[in-house]
Amino acid sequence: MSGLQNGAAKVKASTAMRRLVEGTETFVRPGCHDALSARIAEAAGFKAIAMSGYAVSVSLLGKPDVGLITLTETVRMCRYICNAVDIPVMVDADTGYGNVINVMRTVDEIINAGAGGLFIEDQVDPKRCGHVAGKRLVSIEEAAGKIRAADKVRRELDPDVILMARTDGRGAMGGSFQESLDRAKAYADAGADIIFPEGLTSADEIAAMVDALDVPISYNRTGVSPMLSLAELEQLGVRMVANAIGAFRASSRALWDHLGEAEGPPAQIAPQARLERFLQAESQE
Amino acid sequence: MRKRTTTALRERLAEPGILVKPGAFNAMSGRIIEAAGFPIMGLSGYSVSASLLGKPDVGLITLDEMVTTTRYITAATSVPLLADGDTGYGNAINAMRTTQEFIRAGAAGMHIEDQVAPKRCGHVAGKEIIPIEEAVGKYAACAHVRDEMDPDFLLIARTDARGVEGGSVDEVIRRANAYVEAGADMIFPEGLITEEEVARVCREVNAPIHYNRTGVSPFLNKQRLEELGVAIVSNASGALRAATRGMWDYMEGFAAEDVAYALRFLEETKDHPTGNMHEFVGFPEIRKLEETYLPKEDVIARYANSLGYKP
Repeated sequence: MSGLQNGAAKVKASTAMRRLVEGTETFVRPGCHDALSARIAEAAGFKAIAMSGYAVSVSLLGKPDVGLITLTETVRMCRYICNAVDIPVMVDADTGYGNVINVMRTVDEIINAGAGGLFIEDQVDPKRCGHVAGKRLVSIEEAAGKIRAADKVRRELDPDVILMARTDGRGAMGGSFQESLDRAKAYADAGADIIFPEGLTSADEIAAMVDALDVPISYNRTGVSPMLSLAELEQLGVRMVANAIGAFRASSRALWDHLGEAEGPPAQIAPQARLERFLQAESQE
Repeated sequence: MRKRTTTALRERLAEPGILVKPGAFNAMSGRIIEAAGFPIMGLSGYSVSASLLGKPDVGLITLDEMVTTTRYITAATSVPLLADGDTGYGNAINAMRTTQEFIRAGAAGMHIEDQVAPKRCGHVAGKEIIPIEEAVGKYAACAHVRDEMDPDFLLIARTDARGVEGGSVDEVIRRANAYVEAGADMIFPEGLITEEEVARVCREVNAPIHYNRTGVSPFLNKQRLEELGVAIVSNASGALRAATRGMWDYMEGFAAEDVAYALRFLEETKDHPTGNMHEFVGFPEIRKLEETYLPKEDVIARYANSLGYKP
């Protein structure tokens, strides 16, 4: 929506994202789930943001992040967000929504929607949140093929777009740090600009991962992964830091408190009963 | 089988007592409104425009975007939802399609206003309205679709006649009664500015009244509005305001203090219903469904032999 944009002429989102990834600074990309949350993150001064699949699933659908969100929904939300901000957006593309052929369409659609970069993970489809148990991996060969295919589409459409490969090899069934490392190397060889080794469990693992790779890494500070400070992550050599659902948590808490205290319901419902009612509604479906 | 929300809403309106209608803008806000015990919810055009597009409510949002959002919310909740149909997205023919789409998406009712398209928020200056004859035609067209598809669907005619240039309460009442005559079930007199005006409209309009307590309109309490005879009171953007403030504070704190702020937020939210976020959003329910419909031993092994939150 040119003319409705807040800023003046700007650097292409993909170019801006590439400068950050190829730079030397550690930067934080908070997660957002709609145009409003994206605009708020931009106003707070962040240089980049991510569109979180977890937060989009729960805000838009009201359902957990277990691969229910479709490519169409992801692309549509990506477009809303990219139209509303001037900072580059990393888009969570889950597994690429299928096999290698689906991945190619996914990359095309997400680039055309204005993303500065995107990430694809090596879980079996349907995927689940990286910090919830029950994950399974596709073979390293199949996953590397997805990254190769994504790289080809990216090069054709816009070589500046950042292709990030996420590996769930650390925490998935049969996973280990070694598995995660082997996969990270294979995906970097396949054309990924940056690796997102999901679910590392210690600073030592982060250090070993950074040392073993020729490309930078992205770190997700949540769940099973330690909540290290920015200074510590900088020290370890991490380039990109996620905070996928912080804004969504804050929004949910604020909505819960506001609506619980608002004048209106026929009878005030105690907090515990409200929670039961909330969870009950979910299980009726 | 669950009762249709249109029928449930009609029955509820037949009972005594005013209904408070907070505005939802996505499935999560809808689910939280439901959990708080509200008998109905709105789908606020203002809030959808602000959250989805990040833009003000000046008629940029499309029918398709509102219907898609309606479908997400009605799939996630069972409380009757009243959709904001703006101007019906065009003339009487567009308004017919609008009515049809909202009924199919599971809305229990909707309101359509008599502004010139593209519209703007009812409490922002600069509004214009269409001639009364054209507006009457629009409501008659919507009523026709309602009667064909689901007579219980609540058709609310909103008039913005109070706040436009040369607007008056007399004009509001004249238009309201013409819209009721054309088939509207309820009247939404937008932008009344005093309690006297609310009282007069409730007395002189031949249909129940929907009141929007915001902007230029007085913040009368629930009891007073009930005494005046208001049927539904809207709080369209309250939830959006709360979510916005919550995210603003979080992002500001997080930008300044990084992980120290994130950890403090988690600590403060530890005992809050949303504190265990994975549980709150429904992972345990997914596990139950997986154990019911996927090979069970396989599911158990999967959870046992991988890292992370175990629902």
